[in-house]
Amino acid sequence: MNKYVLAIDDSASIRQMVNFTLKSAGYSVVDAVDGRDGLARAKGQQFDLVLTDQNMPRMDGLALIRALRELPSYQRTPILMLTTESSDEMKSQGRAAGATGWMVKPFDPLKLIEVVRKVIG
Amino acid sequence: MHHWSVRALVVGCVWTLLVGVVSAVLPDFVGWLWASIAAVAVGWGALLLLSARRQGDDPANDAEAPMALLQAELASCVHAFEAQFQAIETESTQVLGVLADAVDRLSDGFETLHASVKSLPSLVPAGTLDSSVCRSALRQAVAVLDQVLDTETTHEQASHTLAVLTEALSTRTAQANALLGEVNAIAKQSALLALNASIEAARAGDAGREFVVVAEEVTALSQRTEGFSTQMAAVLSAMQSLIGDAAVAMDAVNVQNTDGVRAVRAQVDQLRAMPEAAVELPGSAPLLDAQAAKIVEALQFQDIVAQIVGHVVGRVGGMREALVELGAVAHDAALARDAGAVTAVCRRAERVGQTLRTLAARTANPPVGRGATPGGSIELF
Repeated sequence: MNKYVLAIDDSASIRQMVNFTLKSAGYSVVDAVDGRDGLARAKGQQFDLVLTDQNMPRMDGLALIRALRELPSYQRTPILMLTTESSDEMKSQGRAAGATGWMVKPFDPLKLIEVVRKVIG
Repeated sequence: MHHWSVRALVVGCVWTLLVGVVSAVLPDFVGWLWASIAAVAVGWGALLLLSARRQGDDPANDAEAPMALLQAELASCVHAFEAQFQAIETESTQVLGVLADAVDRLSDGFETLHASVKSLPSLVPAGTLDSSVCRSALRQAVAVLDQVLDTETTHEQASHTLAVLTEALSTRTAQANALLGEVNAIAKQSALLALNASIEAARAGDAGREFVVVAEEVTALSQRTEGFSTQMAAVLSAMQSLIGDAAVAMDAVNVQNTDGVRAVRAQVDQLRAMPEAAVELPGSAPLLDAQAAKIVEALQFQDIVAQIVGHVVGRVGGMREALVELGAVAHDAALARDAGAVTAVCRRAERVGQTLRTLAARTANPPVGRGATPGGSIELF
């Protein structure tokens, strides 16, 4: 069964690289340009995994996670942060908001695939 | 000291002298001593009272307070400018560090990748049709990798250009910082101007022509401030143009390298799909994957650079807006001839401060997070 990943980042290059990496591993990837766009796409389609950046215009990653966790269909969906933020304080906030894991950019594509497989198979 | 106070002092001294002379000339009388003292005291009291009233009616007092406010606002602007330029310098340094790291990783990744693919043909057994097909595919792969390496050369050139541009940016920023000294001088001169304005306002009643002197001073101040604004705007415009060029260069490199990596990946996938190659290449294909992963990682560094540069551009754009407003303040200051006009100038100066404060709030969050954890780390909660 094909797994669907929602990749949210305001950087077109990062979206392209995440898309490229996960598609090569057999996943279907849908892009969103910021938190608000991601939330709209998540409401329109059920994804198996959400991969989001933190620093984005309009709605940041933490706000997106909180909004997603309020949706019944996303209360158990894995959500990974993929960000340049790496302070313990930010990670704590992510954990409290409901993030499943925290990956610090720049990411290693092979490790990204490994983690995604671990989380959603 | 105000002109009126000097006059009062002179009149008081003349009055005291007059009373003394009269008391000395008139016939000796015990009551004269006390009468003289009383006359002197009454005279000085009257002068002090008149002086206080004149001070209260002095239009200079109306102008002094707003001018002091203008000085405070200018000083506040100077601090805000300094903070912004400091941030620009920090971010420029960050750009250089990230760029150098990206160049190192890219060079390392492509060199290893190229060496790996060059060695692949020797792994395929000779003399079979399948192996000739394999060789053809491998030749294509090598050709593609050569193309990628050409792209890498372009990347290095672009990176070098970016490094030069960023260095120029630092120089421009230093020049802009030097110009801030001018703003400080202007702020100090504002204080002197307030004093001059108050003296002149006191004199205006009987020496209107002298007001021209103050007007000339105000005009000179305005020209100096406008000159400063023009210089600063030119510096910032050049700086913004430089950073814009840098961002375009980085975007071009990102596109080229991403396309190159995709081409390499497609060739590697093709090699894996071939039966003969599948027997001989299992050791090399994962190595190629690992090197391609390195390239993708390095590309992210470039993306980080582009984000930082974009943030700097936003910051500089906000400062230019503030400077345009500051130029307008200087222009209005030249035309200010009464307390009302000065108050209006002060309001505009306050708006410059507000623009800078808004900019500071808008750019408070850096585009790239900072923290102790190295890039690539993963933590599952």
